[in-house]
Amino acid sequence: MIGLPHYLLVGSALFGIGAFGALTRRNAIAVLLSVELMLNAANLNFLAFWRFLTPTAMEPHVGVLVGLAVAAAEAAIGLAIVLSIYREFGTVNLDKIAELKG
Amino acid sequence: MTGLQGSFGLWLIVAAPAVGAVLGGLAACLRRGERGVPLATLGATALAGLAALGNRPSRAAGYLGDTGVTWLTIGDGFRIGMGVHLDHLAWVMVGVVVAVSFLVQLYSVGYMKGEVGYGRYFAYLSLFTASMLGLVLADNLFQLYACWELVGICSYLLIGFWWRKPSAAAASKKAFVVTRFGDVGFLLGILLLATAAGSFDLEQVRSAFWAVGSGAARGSVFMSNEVFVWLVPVLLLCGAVGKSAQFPLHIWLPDAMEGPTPVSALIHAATMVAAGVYMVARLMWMFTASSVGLPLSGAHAVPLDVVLLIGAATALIGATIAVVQMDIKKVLAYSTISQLGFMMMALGAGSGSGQSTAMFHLVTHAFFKALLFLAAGSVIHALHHSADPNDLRRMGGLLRRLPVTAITCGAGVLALAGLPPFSGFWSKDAVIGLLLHRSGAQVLGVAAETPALRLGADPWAAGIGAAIALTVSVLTAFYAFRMWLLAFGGKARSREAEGAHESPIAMTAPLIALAVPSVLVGWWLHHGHLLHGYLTGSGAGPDLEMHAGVAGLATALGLVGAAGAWALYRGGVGASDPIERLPKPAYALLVNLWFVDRVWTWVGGRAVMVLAAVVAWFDRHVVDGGVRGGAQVVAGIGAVMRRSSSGQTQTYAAAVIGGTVALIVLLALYETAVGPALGQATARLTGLVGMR
Repeated sequence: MIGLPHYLLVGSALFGIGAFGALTRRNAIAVLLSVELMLNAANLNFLAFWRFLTPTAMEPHVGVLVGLAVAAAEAAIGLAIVLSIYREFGTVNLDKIAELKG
Repeated sequence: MTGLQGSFGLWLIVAAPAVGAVLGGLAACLRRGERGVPLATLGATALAGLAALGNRPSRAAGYLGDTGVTWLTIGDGFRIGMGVHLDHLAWVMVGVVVAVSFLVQLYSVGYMKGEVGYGRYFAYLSLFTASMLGLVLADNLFQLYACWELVGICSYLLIGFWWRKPSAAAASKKAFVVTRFGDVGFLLGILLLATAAGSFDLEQVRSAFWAVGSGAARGSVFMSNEVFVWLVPVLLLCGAVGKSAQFPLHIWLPDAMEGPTPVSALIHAATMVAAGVYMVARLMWMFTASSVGLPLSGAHAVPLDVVLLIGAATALIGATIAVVQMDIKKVLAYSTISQLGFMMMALGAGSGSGQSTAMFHLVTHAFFKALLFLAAGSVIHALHHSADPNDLRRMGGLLRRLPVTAITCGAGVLALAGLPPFSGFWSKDAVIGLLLHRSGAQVLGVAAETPALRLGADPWAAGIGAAIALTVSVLTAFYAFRMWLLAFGGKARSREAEGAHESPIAMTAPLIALAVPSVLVGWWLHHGHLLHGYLTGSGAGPDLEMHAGVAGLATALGLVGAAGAWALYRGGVGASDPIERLPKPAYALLVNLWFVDRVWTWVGGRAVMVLAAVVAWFDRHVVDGGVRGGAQVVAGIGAVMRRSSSGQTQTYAAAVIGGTVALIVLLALYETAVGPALGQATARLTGLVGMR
């Protein structure tokens, strides 16, 4: 029988993979992809908690919808930023982009 | 004169010269109508004199006053005002100031003719007159102090009137700085009094001071009441020591002779230098508080002993130095120091007779010393082509050439020497008689004192003062006659002296006008104890009786001094001064001014150097170290912190995630381990307390 812990494990794994990718990938687009993974991990947790703990509540759905909207917005703005970074620096390698180094 | 009575007249005494000063200052600044300035200032001084005459407090009445305007209010009702308090003492002083000021200004019209800054000079004189009258009429300590400093500033401005001359500029600075030494103590005393009384008003300060003396109130948190009642008068005395050129702060007065001679006559002989004496007389209740029968056990006369001994030292030092001076104004300057010492000695005799005798000598001295200075100015004016017109060695034989000056100066010399019936005789004799009386020595027909209350200094101090006063009488007569003989007697000793002419009428008229009181005022004020009666409102006691023995001895001593001068100087003076035949150490002591100046220079130099070294060390190590250390700390923190700013988004993201994880771990730890442990400990503690 598949229960709450299994969903949470999958969510954690998804979040961990996303965080690892966001911190380690040098390519800005890959970083954006990793962030999408982390957001979806959160969505998965929302739904798992709803299903097993508060099946009658509607708030988790709202949370998931908000999460999806945020993810879409983030992808749009993030890609636009990446595009202008590429135009400015000629690269999307984040190691090369360190203009604010103290 | 009826229009001048009341508040308007009282204020006019101060306001008229102040307005004169403003008008004169405007004219001097605009360089317009400078010749008319003396007219304005003389008129203003005369108006002040009329106002004073119209407001004379009668002998039976109390003081005339006007509490005046509130100048500042601090906090809850701490009021600083400006008012007029014209009591008998103040009225006598106002009379002296106005009379001498008027005559000196009149004299200056001739003396300063053609000088650059003619208008400025009279504006200063008028400002001085206003400040001095403000000081005399002050009804609170704050106004007293403000005017005290104002006359100091006028003195500074007038000593340095010929400021292009380096010696004059230096002398004015010296006068200002040296008097400031004393003023520090004066200000401290005033602030202690104001703190104790919660007011600067003299009446309130007085009652507060007596409350402290009787133990009804606490004087200051810094000291016990016993210390307070003698320390405060001594601190105030510091101001008088500076202003009245008393030992050891007398060193500025001889240098002040760099100023124009009429200024020396007005400020440095008759009025400003007497301000210290006047202040002590005015606040005499404070000086006697620790010796009169106050409940303070073991009361003694510390403040008045100090007053008397400082006066005695000053009288002796001034007179001895005057004996060897060859500059006519320096002779008079040291003579002034010596005579101010006499007044201080008289003040040491305490309230009542001491006050009135000091004021008596102050009045006679103001007239005859102003006369002597103006006569000296007349001589200097006549010799102004000489390389050093002040030098007695270049004078001689001026009796025939400047007869009015010589005769009026002679009257001043006789008064200074204390020979009867000239004014100095009466006042000096009163000082000596009073001191002898207070010393308890039954000599020369002086009765022993059996007072119920001791009002003055201790008898031993009075004894020392009397002995010194008698000694100084010889010296005074000696240097006074020496000066006259060298200036006017014998034959002319320089080409300039041969060609000298009598001064113009504007200068000789004030000489004559001052010669009259120099001769008569002593007898007039002594006769029936007029001044004592007016000042104290009571008859004279046995301490003011004139004894034939004392008068005879003082006169004899004066004649001895005069005879000595005649013997040594009747033929003038050659290359060397006969006084140089004194034993060498004694002569060296006198010529070097008792080394007081040198000690001050040495002490001052040393103190300044040591202080400067300490301040320099502090600045270099503490202040600079603090500044540099602060900068280094900031730079070090910056060097460490900048490493965290890699500029890479992912590093920042890692920090955010790491921080979040760390927070979660800490929270979990707290929930599982620390929290329960704390809860247990709290429970145990409350349990323990509960068991008690």
